[in-house]
Amino acid sequence: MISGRRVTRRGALSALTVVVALAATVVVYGVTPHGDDINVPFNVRGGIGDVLTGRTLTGAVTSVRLASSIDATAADSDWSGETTGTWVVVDAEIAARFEPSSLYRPTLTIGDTTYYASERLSLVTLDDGTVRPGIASVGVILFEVSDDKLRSAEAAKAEIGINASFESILDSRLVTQVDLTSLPVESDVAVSRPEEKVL
Amino acid sequence: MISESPGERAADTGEPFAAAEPSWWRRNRWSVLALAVLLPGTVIVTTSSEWFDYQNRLYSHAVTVPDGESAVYGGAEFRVHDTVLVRGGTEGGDELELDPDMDLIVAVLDVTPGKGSVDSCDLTISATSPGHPEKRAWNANVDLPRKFPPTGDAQTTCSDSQGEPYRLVVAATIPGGAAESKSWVHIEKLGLAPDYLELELSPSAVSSASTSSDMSSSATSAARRDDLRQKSNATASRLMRTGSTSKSITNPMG
Repeated sequence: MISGRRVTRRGALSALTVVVALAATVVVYGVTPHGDDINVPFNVRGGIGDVLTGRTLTGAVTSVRLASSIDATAADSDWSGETTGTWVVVDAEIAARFEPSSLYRPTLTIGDTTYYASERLSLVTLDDGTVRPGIASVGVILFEVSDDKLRSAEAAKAEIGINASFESILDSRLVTQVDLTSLPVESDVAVSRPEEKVL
Repeated sequence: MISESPGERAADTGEPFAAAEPSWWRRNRWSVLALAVLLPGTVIVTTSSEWFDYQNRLYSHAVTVPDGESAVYGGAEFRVHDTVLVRGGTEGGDELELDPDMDLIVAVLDVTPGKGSVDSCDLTISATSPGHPEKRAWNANVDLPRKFPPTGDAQTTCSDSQGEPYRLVVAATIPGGAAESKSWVHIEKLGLAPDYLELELSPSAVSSASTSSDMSSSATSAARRDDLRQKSNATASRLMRTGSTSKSITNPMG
């Protein structure tokens, strides 16, 4: 049953205030980052050969190769990198901008799947060392990827992400887009230890 | 429909006015008081962790010391004794197998331990140049040229040294010309962060010299490339000849 109580001016004002406050809450929630967005890095995007510069790192992915096996004899290792998938061998030149840093878990993202750089070939890949200001480290980053993912259409727009140690949250990340679908799979791709190159 | 307030209704009905209604502030005093406490409290609780992290990262407490002067940090007294710059591509650089595109900067510090000894520390060298006016830093005593001579009795990190004064060698390989403008040695001990010590390396001393007179004259000739090349060669030769960085540098008369 509906009572015959009349709405007072004060009651109407209170109701209006609540509605406005709720509406403001919805607007603020909609325009501000939440969930995972709060901690995502600021991506600096480019293609192969583009020199990308973020807050902490600068550098470029110079080439990408696919390999069924690795020849690491130039790095004093007889490791051949046996895998049930395929190696994505990323050649890169990376330097720090202001203070020494290291690459914290470079990523290869294909569609909604993200691969972290392999740690199987220790002390040879770029992510095992420290990069310095003005002195680029030239070397490789290895990713071990499933064949199914490489054959997917999403591999045409794969993204290599490189960021500094422990600072990927709310820091810049160098993102290079690559097409992995048109690359031949080579055997015994030679890799060596990182070399230095003054910028 | 919107009606009048209760007070007005009382007047319309002819009933006597009730006692004056308390003000809004008085009626809501407990709510306002709770908000006054809870709002600042919420802000403090949710941001305090980030604030302390920010403060710990903020190197706002540098003790900057001009070249030649000393400063006490962590109970120990530090002073720059000498600074040497060896340029790549010179005879001196080649002797050390220094990359032609790089420079080697070596600072020798006099350290006098005190009561609160600094027994380990992070050492970095930072510098500016016309091409890079913003300060850049390099870790010290790592990635040195393959033929960098042994440091003898000198230390390569902070030491309590059983209370005895000692020499501390701080060396870094940097891009060629990276220290053209200014350079500093940074000393930081974990327990003393965010305080750290910043010792300025004088641009005149950076050109290095094999004699005291050369050292004094280098202040006016540091910008001359040929002069720097000659001094770099002489310095590297001394390093190689003595086999001890500290001895060769701390005795500029050779």
